[in-house]
Amino acid sequence: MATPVKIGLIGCGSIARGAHLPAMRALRDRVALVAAADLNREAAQAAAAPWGADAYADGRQVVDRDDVEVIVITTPEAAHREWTVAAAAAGKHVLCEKPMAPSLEDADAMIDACRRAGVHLMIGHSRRFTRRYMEIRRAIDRGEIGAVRLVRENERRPGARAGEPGYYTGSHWTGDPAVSVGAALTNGIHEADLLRWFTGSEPVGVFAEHKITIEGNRGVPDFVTWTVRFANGSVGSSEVSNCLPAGYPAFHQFEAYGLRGAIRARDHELISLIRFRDGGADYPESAHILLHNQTAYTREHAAFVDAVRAGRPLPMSPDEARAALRLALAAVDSARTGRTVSLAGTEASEVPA
Amino acid sequence: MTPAPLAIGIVGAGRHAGALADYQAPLGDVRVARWAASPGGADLSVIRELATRIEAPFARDWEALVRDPDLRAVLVLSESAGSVAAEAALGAGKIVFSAVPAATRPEEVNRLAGAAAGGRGVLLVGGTIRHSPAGREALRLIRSGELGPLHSLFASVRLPAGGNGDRSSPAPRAVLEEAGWDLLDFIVAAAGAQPSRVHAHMDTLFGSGAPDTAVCIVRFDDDLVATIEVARCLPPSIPAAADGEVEIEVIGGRQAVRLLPGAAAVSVYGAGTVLRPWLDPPVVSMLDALAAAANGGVPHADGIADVRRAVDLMEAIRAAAARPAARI
Repeated sequence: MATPVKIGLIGCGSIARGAHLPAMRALRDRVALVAAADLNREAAQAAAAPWGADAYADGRQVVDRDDVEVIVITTPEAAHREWTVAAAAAGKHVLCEKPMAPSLEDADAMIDACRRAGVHLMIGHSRRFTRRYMEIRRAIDRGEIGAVRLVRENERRPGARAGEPGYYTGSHWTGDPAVSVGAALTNGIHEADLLRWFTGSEPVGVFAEHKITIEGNRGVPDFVTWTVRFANGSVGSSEVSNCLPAGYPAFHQFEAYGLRGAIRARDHELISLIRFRDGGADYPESAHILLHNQTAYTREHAAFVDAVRAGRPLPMSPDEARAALRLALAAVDSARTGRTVSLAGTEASEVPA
Repeated sequence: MTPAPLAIGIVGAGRHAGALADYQAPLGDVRVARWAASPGGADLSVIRELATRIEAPFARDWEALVRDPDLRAVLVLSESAGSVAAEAALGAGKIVFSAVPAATRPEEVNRLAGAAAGGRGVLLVGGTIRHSPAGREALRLIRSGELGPLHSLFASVRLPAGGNGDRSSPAPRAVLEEAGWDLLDFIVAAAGAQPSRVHAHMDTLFGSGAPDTAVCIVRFDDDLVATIEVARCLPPSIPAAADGEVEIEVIGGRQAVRLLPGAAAVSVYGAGTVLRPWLDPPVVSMLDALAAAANGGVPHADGIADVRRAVDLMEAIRAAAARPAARI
């Protein structure tokens, strides 16, 4: 059996706790967490303890360890460049949570640093490892619906309004204008990637609107809607809302219409657990079942480990993540200026298979 | 003493006619006194059969019907010439309910307004979504303030690709005009403010001919953001009700609602699948509104203003889609 890949984790917040650490546990015969860092040392200790790993309050101490082969970065995106460049300089491979960065300059610096160092860089676009989207991509590749012409992907996330700690509320970093761009990146980066992936084409223009809907939000748009025209003539749209009343189901609404058929994954038609209380009905497991797909993160880690240990190609290049970022940032630009933003003519027009 | 039912005349046999003839219950406070064919007479034989079914007198001459002094109110069902019939009835001083798009262009609105002013007629409008049971209740919740300030509205109508479900045939009419009217009518009824910014993309994505897809984002003065998608995109394997597959979600500061106004309780499977809604058809609500307006007991909406707002939004979408920046 191959020696487990030794991982250092930088950032021990909710996405690390809820997605990446469970993925590592599921792959414990192939990976070993040896170090974890977070500005909140207690969070680092909580992540490290089950592995007998070391905990730090400074990510630099993780990067500097000789035994670490892979750095998993799960900080807010504003810190992705700093830790990726540092990790690459230290010869570590990098698996970085999405979105890649808050700017294309940061993304380019990350790609450049890893290429020069000869290390792998993959951005954690977990939806590409989610079963439903994998099946959709396979069906499109097999030509089951013909050329894709229209794609919609909506996302609904309740909870923040109910006063629960979470996105865009309280002290959560997503609601801090100093470090968060908003829903177009935090959630919408997934949609940007999926629209490209399923239309198989690069965007040539986008228009968008965004706004603040959650009470107590400190100034970061938590709602976004956009429409994209692609080089091959297809059209993609997405609307992300984090402002649903308690009890509203969490769901994705995916629809792709092609010249010979359609593919739909409409979660709200598939809710399998409804709880009835005096206050009404709610869907207590919808966020877990429909939105948070743990197996996707396990697949994501497994693919990265395979690239590091077995030399297999990465399933998603950092250039792909940069392209999704470019689209999401264009949507932000459109929402801020009220104008359609052109993306034509400067990039490749086809998305790699 | 209970007043006698309001005697009305009907012009044309559009999408609502079958539902009206099949209702098989008293039509509230109205009585169909006469039913005439559309201008041009193309639906004459259909109307003869429908009128017989509800035991209403059939009339060949729609112009005589709208001028008939014994009729105070007219229901316009004609898909092909609804605007012409409505204009004539308004000019004759009738209370007119247009169950079909009374206008899709500003000049048509102006003609209706002129006819109403000249003949002292009253126009009421409202599409199938606004007058569906789900649409009525959603509007009540919105207007009562129960939803709180509106944050976002997502609305889509999906129709079979191609004309009449034939994916290979060219699209007969621009989808925004064919299927967008009812949606825009509901949206302007739900939105309390004027549009301040409109983005739109219209294209022929699924065949040839007129644009079959319209995707729009509208920001209103009160900060409501509406995402609107109307597309003739459904493959034959996805059955849709006659008015298409309609889905609307309105998210407010306190509550949110999802509407499926055409949701079917009865699906008939054969060579194809036919969906039948189980709730009262919208035309019943339209007749209630007509009777209430005629009886004067309930203040009625200004139909000219309603139709103008919907047409203005439709025009704004057309203009946005035609902007050079939208066609990159």
